[in-house]
Parts: sequence; C-alpha cells; structure tokens
Amino acid sequence: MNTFKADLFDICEKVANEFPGWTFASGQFKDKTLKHTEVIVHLGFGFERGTTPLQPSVTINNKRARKLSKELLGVERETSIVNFQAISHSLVHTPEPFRLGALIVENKEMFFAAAKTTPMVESRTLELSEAYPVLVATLRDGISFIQKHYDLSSEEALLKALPPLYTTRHENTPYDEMERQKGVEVCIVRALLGDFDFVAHYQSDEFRTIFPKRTAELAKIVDALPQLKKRYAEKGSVI
Amino acid sequence: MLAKACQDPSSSSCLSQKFLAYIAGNNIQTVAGTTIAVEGPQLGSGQPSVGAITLDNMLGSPLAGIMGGAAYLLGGGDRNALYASQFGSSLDALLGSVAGFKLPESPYLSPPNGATRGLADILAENSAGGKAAEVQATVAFDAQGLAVRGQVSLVNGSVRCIADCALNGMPNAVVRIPTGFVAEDLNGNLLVDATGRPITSFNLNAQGQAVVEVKTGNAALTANQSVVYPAVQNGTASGTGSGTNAAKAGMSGNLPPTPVIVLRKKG
Repeated sequence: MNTFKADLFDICEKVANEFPGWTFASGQFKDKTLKHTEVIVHLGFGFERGTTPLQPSVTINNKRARKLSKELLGVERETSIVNFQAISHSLVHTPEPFRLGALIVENKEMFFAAAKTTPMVESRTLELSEAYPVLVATLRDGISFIQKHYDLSSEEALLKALPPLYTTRHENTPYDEMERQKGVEVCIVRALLGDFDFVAHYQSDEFRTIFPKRTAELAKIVDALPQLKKRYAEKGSVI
Repeated sequence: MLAKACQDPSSSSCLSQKFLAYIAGNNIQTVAGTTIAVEGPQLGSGQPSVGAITLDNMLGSPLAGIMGGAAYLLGGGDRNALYASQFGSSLDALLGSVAGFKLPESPYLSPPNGATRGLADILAENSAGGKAAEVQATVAFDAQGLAVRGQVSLVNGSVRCIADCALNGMPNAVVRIPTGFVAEDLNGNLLVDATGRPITSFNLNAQGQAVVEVKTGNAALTANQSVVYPAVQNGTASGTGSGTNAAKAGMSGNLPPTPVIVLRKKG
C-alpha cells in the first residue's frame, strides 16, 4: 500500500510531465534546461500525521553563486527566493482559497470528522484526490512569475537583473529582496559580476534597510574582496 | 544483567533489558552511572485508575501507544499495559533525545464504520485537531498580513525539532493572538500582562521574526522542542539550510534571539 507522501509525489510527477523541461524531485518542480542555473518551484511540503502544508515558492539557484556563497560564508544559499504568499495578489491560476497556502490531507471527510474543524479551516483544506489541478495551477503561476520577473536569456542577464521587483500582498509583508540573508546574497551576486564596490555600499549607513543587516556575513565578503578582485583580474571570473 | 547491558545506554540489549524490567513491574534508575531496576510503586485504589494512567501515557507518545496497545492485544491486563506504555514513553524520549529522531505520529485513521470508538479514534482526534488548530492560527496570522511558514526545522547542536509556524513581518511588529487561543511560555505557564490578564499580543524581534508552536488539549512540547526552543530564544539555535522550509522562511543558519510562543487552543 502506498503512503500518503508517495501518492502525492506520484501526482506531482504527473503534473511535471505536463510541462516540457520540468521534472519533479525531492518535493520540488525543477527546470534544469539552463546549464548555469536551476529554476525551481518549491512546494514547501512538510509531512506530518498524514497531512502536509502546500506553501509554494519560486527559487533560483545559480550554480556559481551557490559555490561562492559556500566558499565565503560556509553555506550554500538560494540565489533568489520569492514565496507565493508574498505575491498571492498576483497569482491567477491558483484557486483563490489556496493562494495563501493549503493543507493537503488524505481524506477530507475523515479529517474534518476527527478534527471538528471550522469552515475557515475547511476552506484551506485540500484532499489528495483534489490536488492534481491545484498543483498544475501552482506550477503555472510559478512559471508565469519566473517569466515575468527573471531574465533567463543568459547567465549574466539573469544575475544583473537580480533581485526581482514586485509588490507584496500586504503592508505588513515587507519587500525583503535587499534584506537579511537575501541582501547578503545580492552582494554575492554583485561580486560574481565584478561589482566589488557594491558590498561596501550595501554595508554603509547610506544603504537603508528595513531590518538590521547581517554584518558578520557582510564582513566575510569584504575580507575576501582582495582575493576575489585578484581572481577577476587574472581570469575574468571570481570563481 | 540490566547494569551490564546498559554500560552502553543506547544499545539494543540495554533497551531490551529495560523493557523486561518494566514488564516485571520495576522502575529504571541510574545510580552513580549504573543502570538498575527498583521495584515500582504498587498501584492501589487510592491512586488514579491504572487504565487511565495507561491511556494518558499511550496518548502522550507514539511508542507508548504502540506498546500499551500491544500489551492489551496480547491479553495483558491494565498493569502490563501500563508498564509497557511507560517503557514506550521512556524509549520515545530516549530515541528523541539521543538521536534527534522523531517517531511518526499517528495519522487520522478511524476504525471501520460501525466499530466502537477506541484508542485509534482518540489518537486520530488529537492528531487531526492539532493540525486543524495550526491551520486556524495560520489563517489568523495571514489576515494580519504576516508571512507564515509551516513545518520549519530548527536545530540546536545535534537536536532537531520541527516548529509549527515561522512568522515574518515588520521589525518588532505587534502580532495579535488569534481568537480562541491563549499564549504560554515554554514551561506551559500562561503569559499574562501587568494586570494579570492573558496577553492578547506579542512582538516579533528586530528581524521581524517569531516561532509559534500550536498545542491542543494538554499536549506538551516534545523532548526535542524542549531542547531547541530555549536555544531559539537565546540566539544559540539555527535553521536548516538551502532547500528547506527554514530557508524559505529566511531562517537558515544561525538565528538571532527569536521569540517562541506556544499557542494553546482554548476549550
């Protein structure tokens, strides 16, 4: 007998098969057609007691940015992440009740009976047998966002156009593409492009952010700049 | 035999010997580094029902449930089931703390139509009720414009736990506690304001983040949550890396001191 997780992953594989170039692996839809970058629609699954949340996000993983992040900070990070929840107002394919996320359960009737749920909870709950069209819509919305907000024509064009510009769904959800870890990642990308002044500019008080900057990580990048500049001058690339 | 087997406390022979000792009605203690069995308390009429204690144990831990249930299934009485469930609770906690291992929790399965409401139903209701409460809280946070990420893995040393919700909003933003919930600290104490009334809101940290754990009934933090959440509050924990829900919540790597609020569903 298949498990809930295996059944859901089977559905996801069927969904990916509808979109040329896309595959499904490890809880995410992936387009690996670009050699330099993985384009991902991550589903945010977290399996627990026969349920999982559906909380999609678009992820861009540039291979060189990840490598430089690992070298300078000791960890590989996503080059760009945008959670669907932040852009729920601009989703068009995902059914309205699920634009801020959903809970997928194996059998709604049994879940509702056991949980004594409210209509509010029930409106966010999705049965396994209903998941296919919603996941198709999720991937469609993800691809649409990627096409509108990232320049995939070349690696340089992609990196130069980061971070993506968009409005968020609510004033309490800040546009955070230059904030916290995402801000550090923009510095990494700028260093890859040979824009070595950007890190110091970002680090300075002139560059205003909503949240406190990750000063320790920024200091690591600044410390590595002489070496990165040398490599760039010699090889035309920092990595 | 127990002391010898438990020279390596994580060995399977130690676990087996502990089980046999429990079944024989003993409690397990460690004295001066040696594991010994001592006679357990005799359960009399002046104490709560043996069956009730057993049921409490079985509801509190998956292994306790399995072992207690197995003891009943094999024809054992309340006493045997109690000892088996106690051992299950201990083993659950031991596995959780030693290896950071999380046992699968009961799915919301019900017995076939017409069957008597039994332990499986109670477990199913607790499990599904907990998940529904998470969704209810999530919807309330969504309505406040916050970004909510569920099932976020947090780590302290080798101990890992999964938090129900990671919240993201503006720096130090005020978050209203959803209707139908009360806020508790990590020790299960009701959080109250200066006038002694239950708090109605809490603040995100300067990074605009907080962790929320949703509980129903008398559910307590898991063994791993009891280790990791204080570290999250102290700024000595971290979130898991690239590709995980922690990363999507902007919580991968070392975390600054971050509030952890336990929301308990009322009624």
